Amino acid sequence: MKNIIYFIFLISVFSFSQKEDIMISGYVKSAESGETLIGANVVVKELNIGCTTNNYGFFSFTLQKGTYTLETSYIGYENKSINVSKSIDNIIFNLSNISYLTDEVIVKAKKEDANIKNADMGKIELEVAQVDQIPVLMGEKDILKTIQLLPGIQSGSEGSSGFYVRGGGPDQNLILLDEAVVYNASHLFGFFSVFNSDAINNVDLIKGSMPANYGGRLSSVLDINMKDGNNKKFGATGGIGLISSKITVEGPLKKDTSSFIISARRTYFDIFAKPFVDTTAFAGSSYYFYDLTTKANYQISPKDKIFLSGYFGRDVFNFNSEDWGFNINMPWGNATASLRWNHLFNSKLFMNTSLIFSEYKYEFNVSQELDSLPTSTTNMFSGIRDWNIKNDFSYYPNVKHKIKFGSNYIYHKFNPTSFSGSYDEFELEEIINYYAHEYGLYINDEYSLSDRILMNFGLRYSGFIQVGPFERHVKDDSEQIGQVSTDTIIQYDRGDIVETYSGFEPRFSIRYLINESSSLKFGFIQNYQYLHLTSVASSSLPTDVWLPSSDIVQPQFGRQFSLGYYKNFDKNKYETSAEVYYKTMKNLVEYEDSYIPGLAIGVENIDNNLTFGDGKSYGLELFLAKRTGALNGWIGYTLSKTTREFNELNNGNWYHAKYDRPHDLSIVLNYQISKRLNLSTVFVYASGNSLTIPRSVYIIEGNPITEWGDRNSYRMDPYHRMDVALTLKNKETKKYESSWTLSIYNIYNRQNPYFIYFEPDGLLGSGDDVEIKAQQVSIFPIIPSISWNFNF
Amino acid sequence: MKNINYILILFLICSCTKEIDIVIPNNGRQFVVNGYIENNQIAKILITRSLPYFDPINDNSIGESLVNDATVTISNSLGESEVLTPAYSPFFTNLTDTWYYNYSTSTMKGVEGATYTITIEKDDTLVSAITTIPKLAPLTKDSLRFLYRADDSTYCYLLGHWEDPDTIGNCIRAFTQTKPIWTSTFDNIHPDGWDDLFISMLEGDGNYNDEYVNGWSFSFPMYKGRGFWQEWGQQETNDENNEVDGSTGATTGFWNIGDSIALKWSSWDRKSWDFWRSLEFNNPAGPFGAPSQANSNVDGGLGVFSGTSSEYIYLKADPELENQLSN
Repeated sequence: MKNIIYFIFLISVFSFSQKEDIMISGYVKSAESGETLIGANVVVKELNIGCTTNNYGFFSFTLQKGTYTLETSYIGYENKSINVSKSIDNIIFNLSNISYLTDEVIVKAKKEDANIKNADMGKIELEVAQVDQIPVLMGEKDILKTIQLLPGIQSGSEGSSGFYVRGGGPDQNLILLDEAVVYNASHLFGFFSVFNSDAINNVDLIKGSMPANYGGRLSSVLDINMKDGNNKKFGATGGIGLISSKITVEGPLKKDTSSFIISARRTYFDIFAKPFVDTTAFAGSSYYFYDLTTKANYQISPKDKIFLSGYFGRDVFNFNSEDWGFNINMPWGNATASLRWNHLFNSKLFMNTSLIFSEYKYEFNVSQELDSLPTSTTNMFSGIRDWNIKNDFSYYPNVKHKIKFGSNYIYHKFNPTSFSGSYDEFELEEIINYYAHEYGLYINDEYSLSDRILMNFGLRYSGFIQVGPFERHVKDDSEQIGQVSTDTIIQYDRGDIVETYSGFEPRFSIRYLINESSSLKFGFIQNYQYLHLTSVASSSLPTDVWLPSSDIVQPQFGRQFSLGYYKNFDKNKYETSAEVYYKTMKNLVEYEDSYIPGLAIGVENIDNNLTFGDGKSYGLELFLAKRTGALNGWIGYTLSKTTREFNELNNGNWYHAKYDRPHDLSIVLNYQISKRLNLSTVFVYASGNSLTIPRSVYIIEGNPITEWGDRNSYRMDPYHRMDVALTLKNKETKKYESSWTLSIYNIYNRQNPYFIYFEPDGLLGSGDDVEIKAQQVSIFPIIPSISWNFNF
Repeated sequence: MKNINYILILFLICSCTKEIDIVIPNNGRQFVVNGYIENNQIAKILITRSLPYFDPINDNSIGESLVNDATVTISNSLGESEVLTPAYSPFFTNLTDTWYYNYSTSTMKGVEGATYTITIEKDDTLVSAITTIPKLAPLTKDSLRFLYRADDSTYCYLLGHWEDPDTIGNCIRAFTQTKPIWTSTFDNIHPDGWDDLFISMLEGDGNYNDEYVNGWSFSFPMYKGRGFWQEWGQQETNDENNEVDGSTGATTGFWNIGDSIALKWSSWDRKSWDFWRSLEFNNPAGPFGAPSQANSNVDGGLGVFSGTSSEYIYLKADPELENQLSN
């Protein structure tokens, strides 16, 4: 309550006696589709000040009395300007598409010198048009894989869409799809992301100091906005690829006031593989994934608009073995829904209220039916479900301040791992859920102190309350004869408070403009993360479990300092930057060394098996981009070190994090050969992942047992790869356009290490020597693919 | 997490594997203990040293790894103490029911409920471990019966019935020793036709505990284990040219009709049971598992010192017999 009073106070301070001012606000939209343009640039020419549109395409200025020229610009669209001399509430800039036939290029910043001028540190905005040009694995365009090509962002293992930002874990990225959290952004063990790029409008990634309106994750924010749908006319786009096809349909529900978009995608290698699989002993085995994205919006009045958006995706893996009467069925996936209401109180105050649902679920079902044996079934399931309400205000008191404030409340239900099964005449079921409330209150001000100095300061207050019903199994370590554990169970009833955490999260960044083409920025952020992703494996899996902070698990706590120098050359044709960062993290979680997965599912708290430690990461990120011209692209290089320290792991010594990569280089080049032909290429080079290797071997009852050495003390061979894509546009007709894309992944067929395993060759007692061999597995050799995309 | 292995298979199908060289720093060789003390039996201890990881392992290197000159002492909670007699030559005759040993007690025998401490001293190295012999949770003997393998009445497997005691924490290891109707495939030193060793049951390597099912009673199948010298799918036969099961070759886990079987049913001390259980997760092949150290209870070394209480049940593998207990 105190905080709310404080906000009101702040607002009134900024609002006093500005009667002489004129207020201008409005939206920037696409003239062709009515789609809002997010991050479009709006400039007051006379004052040389500007702003960008928010996630709903909204902007606002308060200016002293006078006559001004307002100009808007956005990538791929023609600029537009108007003159204003009095307050206007609802200007709508409808920008027209620049035809791609001009040799202006697609990879271009929204505002050519945005990197120099804004105060954001480590913020990257990506248009889907940019993603479209980049060669991809099996022809599947993927925003997450494009992001991995930027400095400071690393991929997990080969082909994985998982990403690691500045030494943070995969759980430290806040992935938002129309404001709904997406907990597992991968299909097929990470090879494809869950986002269908056809349905996406734009993507923001913040790896540095995130503004205070974002909370809940330590390392980054990936804010994805879906397209609204064309409110002028119906249209369809789609693509047919090697492994999947997709289609998107959009159109007006009521012309100019409401529209919808539906986008669907499904893989079909299961259908092609079926005739072959069915001749084997594994008949009935298959794998596929699909996703469905949909959104509708309705303009109720000039000041009110509502949006309804949803996502549903599933991966389904089936495995059948006739010989063993064995059947595995493994579905997993996300579902999200968000209902949002935009309301404009006046030119200065914009509000968005969102009701959000999001869920991630994983199931593992096994049944075994053999003639003479009783049928057994086992079901394991885990998941997380959120109900979220958010209230965000943007307040534009005058040209010097842009204030955001708001609140957020989430009700979480976690189901870490549950188990049910039946065998013969008995059945059992064990479920322990965790329930929690999470909340946040924030205020953020972007304050332009002078022409040279722009500051962004924010404060977020967040909290987390774990509540009952809950059972805590307290382990008794007394060494009683044969005892598994003499559990004392602490019982909490519905509504009982199990544990409470809260804290302040200050954020600060400052830009100092050295001259028109260079600037210096500094950023600081401190934040808490109340959720933890636990994984027993060395790669991201659908079985990874989300756990809340609880009576024994403390929230993750992070701090990051970053400093950057930005310089553009040749009239912003070339953009360069150098950023350094230093980041510390506390209360990271890992499983104890002795933890055996699946041994005590359900009958005890899974977080009893966790151990806690700290992390540290620092690095230098260099970036060079050429935004315009027939030849364009970028080079990103990161030099970094990421380490972890856990008292109970690696004898308490610091060790390299799994994805610690001293060197990480990406080169992306795009060449527009002719109006119809485009060639693009990607080259990546990264130090190998670190790995735990054996120290010695010993024999226990005839079997070689490995004594493992220091954690992650070995580094695999470096990873490098080049991909090429050629896009040919077919002749355009009035109604219809289409293109062919031929892409080749890993063109020089590099066998990159995916993992290494150690396998004894031979059997003791056979008389021959037994030798243990280290085997390195590579996946994805050279893979050509072709896809056809259309748009009408 | 067995499931993951199937996914691994899929990966291996569409991937490429090559052998690589990894240099492992020489960190010295550790003491490895594999010893146990069973109710009413003397303690049997094998002490070796760990081996360089990529060196060939054979009879010579194993023989060379034996530690035969340490001072080994066991003391118990009953106030007794004994220095163990080395039994080091020759190695291959010192066979106990599940494995070889090179030290044993001569007078001290296992007592249910007693706690045992072993200390091993050599030069300036001191290794120790502690274990307790649990009270035996017996198997229901009269409900044991053999069932034919599906579609093949020349093989069978065993069905048991278990009534789990009310107290949680029963850790079981189950083994069998077989006197096959054909000759054993492993060179036997037992003159009467029995296999040399008790081997762990197939499912979960014969390791079971009642964490999920405390106090329950249920029937469960038991399959003959795989000897360390056997490939998967290899079954004993009297004729090399006569394939045992032409259709799949997967006869691992089944007994021939007419085999004699000794079933060893053991209650195990939790800490040392953890070790045996953890071996299954020690070296996962693939990106879906993480290397996991065996849960040793040995301080200053590797391996395990176990306390166990066992019963031995003799059976005839024949589903037609009314009473399958023999002797």
